[in-house]
Amino acid sequence: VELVEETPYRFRIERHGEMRVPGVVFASRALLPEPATDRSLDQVVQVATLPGIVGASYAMPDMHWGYGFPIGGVAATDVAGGGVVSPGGVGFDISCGVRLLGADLDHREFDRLREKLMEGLGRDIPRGAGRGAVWSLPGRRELERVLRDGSRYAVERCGGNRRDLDRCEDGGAVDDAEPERVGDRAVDRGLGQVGSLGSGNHFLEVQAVDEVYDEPVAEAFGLRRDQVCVMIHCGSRGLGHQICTDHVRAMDRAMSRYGIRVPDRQLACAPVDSPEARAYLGAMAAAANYARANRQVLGDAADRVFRAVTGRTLELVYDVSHNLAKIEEHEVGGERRRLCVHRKGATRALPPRHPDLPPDLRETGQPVLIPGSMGTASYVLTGVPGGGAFFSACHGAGRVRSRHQAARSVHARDLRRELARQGISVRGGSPRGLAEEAPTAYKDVDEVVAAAEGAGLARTVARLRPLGVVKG
Amino acid sequence: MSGPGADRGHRGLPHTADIRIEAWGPTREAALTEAVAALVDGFADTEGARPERTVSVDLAAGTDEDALLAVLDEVIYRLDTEDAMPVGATVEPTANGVSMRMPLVAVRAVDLGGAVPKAVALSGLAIGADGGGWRCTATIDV
Repeated sequence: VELVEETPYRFRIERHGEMRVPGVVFASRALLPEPATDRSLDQVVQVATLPGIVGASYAMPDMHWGYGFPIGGVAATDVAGGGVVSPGGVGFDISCGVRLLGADLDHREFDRLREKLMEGLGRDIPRGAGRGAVWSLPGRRELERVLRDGSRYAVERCGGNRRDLDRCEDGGAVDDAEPERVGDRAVDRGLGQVGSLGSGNHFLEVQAVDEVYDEPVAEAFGLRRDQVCVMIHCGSRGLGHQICTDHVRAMDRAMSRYGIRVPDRQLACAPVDSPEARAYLGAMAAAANYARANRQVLGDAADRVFRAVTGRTLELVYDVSHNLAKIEEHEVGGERRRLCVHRKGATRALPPRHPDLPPDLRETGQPVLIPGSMGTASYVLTGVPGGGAFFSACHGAGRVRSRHQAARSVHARDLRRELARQGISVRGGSPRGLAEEAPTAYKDVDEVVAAAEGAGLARTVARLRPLGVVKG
Repeated sequence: MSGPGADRGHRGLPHTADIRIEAWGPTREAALTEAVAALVDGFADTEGARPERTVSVDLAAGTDEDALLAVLDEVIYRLDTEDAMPVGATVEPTANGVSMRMPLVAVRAVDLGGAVPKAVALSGLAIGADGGGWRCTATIDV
């Protein structure tokens, strides 16, 4: 794939072959994927062939090899112009995202309470394979309420406050969820997992605000220097994975009826106004609500531990997805158009004065939450006017080495020792699971965030450093 | 795990974020049996694990690919809903697909190493006759 450097943070792939739009990669030269081991640039080209795609097939600075779509990919299709929705463009873990809570606690106080807090979080935050969650749902009817009302129902049943909804994307729930579109297997997988991290790269991390780059904006978000925070990264667990599985396969079977051919079957798609797309979007919205409820319940569990150990509370900064498709209005070619915006491993980043922002964030823009790899910094950014890619930014550090390579080259014992040396407590995680998530398996998050800012996707507000991690 | 030269076996292939498996055997069902073993080997060390019970399940599959997806999906489903995983599953042909017999161990009784499988992608999914035997590959989301 040939890249044309437009700016130090923006590379263009000219239209060729069956591409309907060009590819645009927001990255520094150093962050570009290594083609011998990572085929994500080919995937940018493949996404550019989707029917109805407008603007460009975009990739964020943390891009890496997914299937079908690259991880860190953004693609918008024109609903009225035959645009498609592709479940693979959302990803298996529907509405996987990040929740950041601020504690009324200084990091110097944390040191004194570290053991008790980490012990409490290690005990009360369910993680790992299979069932086991904070909230036991008795059956499908109760689950349907979660699928329909997301965090709103979780707050009603399990505790929480108004801010938990105001500071969550979509006010805690999307309104167009259709639980009846969710298959039995997805329901079975979802019943025992509301309020659980899962495994892989999911985590709960206790962090300290290390640096503030924009004090007024940080203050509006609810962040100040030296403050202790809790960051949660997880998604819709088995339920979301099953919904994606079911609908990718349904679209794979249906595509030929719409005369659609795709270069990779995981790009299976259907026109947004088709029955297959409507079924997917209704089920996807239900999974998004499940993911918000999942993070709400986990945040509430962490708040209970904080209250018990410190007598202080946790307050929501923001909760935002990085795997989702949304119908949004954007200007394309001088016209307002309804677009289906896919963000797979990309975070929505609304600019100041966007109508979808809660009133107290109207002047600042939307908090964009970027977790680093284990043991490294995380960042809080804010959306900026212009936005570059339908108001989207990166979602993390981005993998560069496979799990297999990481597990072979990193010893968990050395990693644990190094984290302890840096003052980072670790709870959970098998030796191999830890090694697979070693920082050396990821890009440098500082560089990713610098590229996102340099490319005009978002602006840095604060940096957070890890104090303790509960590993999924 | 047997090397690629053996008449049946399985192995993991590199993929940046997820897991790719390859499995082969003298028959389609042998290759499917190896694919299940590859899926489990990707995240758990089941050596010495004693099965608590055995289940048999009939899986409808119109094509070879459906059969590959069905056996892998079944393992993932049991993991999430029963906290159980197979050790030494065997796959047999049936009139409308395959049957799978799975001796199951509890997840808590096994040393879980890597990231747990959650879905099977259609990217790079392949199964077919290969020389004198059968071979399949799949990408697993973790």
